[in-house]
Amino acid sequence: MSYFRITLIRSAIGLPRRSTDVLKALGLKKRMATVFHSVSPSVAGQIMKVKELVHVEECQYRLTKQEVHLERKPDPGYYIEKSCAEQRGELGGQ
Amino acid sequence: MFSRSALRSLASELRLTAPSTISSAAPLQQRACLHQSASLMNSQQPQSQSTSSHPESPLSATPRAQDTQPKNVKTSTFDENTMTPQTRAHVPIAKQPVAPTFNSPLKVTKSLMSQLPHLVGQKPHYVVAQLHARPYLLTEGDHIRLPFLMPKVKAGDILRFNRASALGSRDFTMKGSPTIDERIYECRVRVTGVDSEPLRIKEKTKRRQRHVKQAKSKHRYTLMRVMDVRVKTPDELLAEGAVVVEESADSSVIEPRS
Repeated sequence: MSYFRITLIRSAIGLPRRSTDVLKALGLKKRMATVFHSVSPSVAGQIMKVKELVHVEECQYRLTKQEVHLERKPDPGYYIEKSCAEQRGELGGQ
Repeated sequence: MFSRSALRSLASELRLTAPSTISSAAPLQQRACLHQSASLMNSQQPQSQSTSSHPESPLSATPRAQDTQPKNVKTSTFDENTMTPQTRAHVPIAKQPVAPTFNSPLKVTKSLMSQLPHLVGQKPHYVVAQLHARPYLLTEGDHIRLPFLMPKVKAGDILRFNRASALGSRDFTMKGSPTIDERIYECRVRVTGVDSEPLRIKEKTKRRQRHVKQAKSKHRYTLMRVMDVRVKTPDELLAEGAVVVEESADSSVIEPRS
């Protein structure tokens, strides 16, 4: 089962009512929003209507909203090597 | 036919007898329950201690704080192997500030190994540490004021910065692609405290309304001091189990200053 991963790149402001409605039907409410739809002729037709506004990829799994968010989340870049309580414990142990 | 007084006396008798039975039974039950819980606790305690990495001395009263190895504290009860992340609380362990565990040994290319002594010999070193993908150019002894309040750290904690995009000295720079392996260097930072900005008051008004809302903000920032920026020598790397390999595509490169 494969899915379309559709991301709204450009907004439909100033475009005909039809393209706004197609985006609404796809579930795209704001720019950079990502939705997943299973590959079917009807969805393909919807994408064709707004092909100038969206970026489409094909993928095997439907990702959750958090998974899409985590793709962009960077690593923290740090970790706590020794907390002050641990250091105090070491001092007490000596 | 009972009179009301007779009924009342009967009721009072009942009340007298009933509480006594309850009061005699209840503490016993309670005590029994308490005893049970106490025995449960007694039976559980050695188990928990034995699991906390003190198998040879299960009854010693060593607190957890003295453990040398950093304990992996999971902030959320989320198992990344079984579940797909659904909510904002589900953050995989790789994206949390947790000490890393390594499965494969460090791989160092031959050219890096040959050039590393030049970099190691030339002190002081600087590091471009990436904190939440923002670069911080740090040298030993620097004071940092992060533009945010770092969660779950206290003054006195020692942090390790483990994402560096560049590492260098006066004449040499090691560049990562995109980051240098964290086992090549050590960048320790001590949290020195929390700074706070002066209270800012912004007056919020709407048109044609006399009401003025005061929005207050007083942000807090974490202060830190860089304890050391150290590049490990080739001998140290080999002692820690680094493997020397031929050229590979995604390896760090040391470039002399042009």
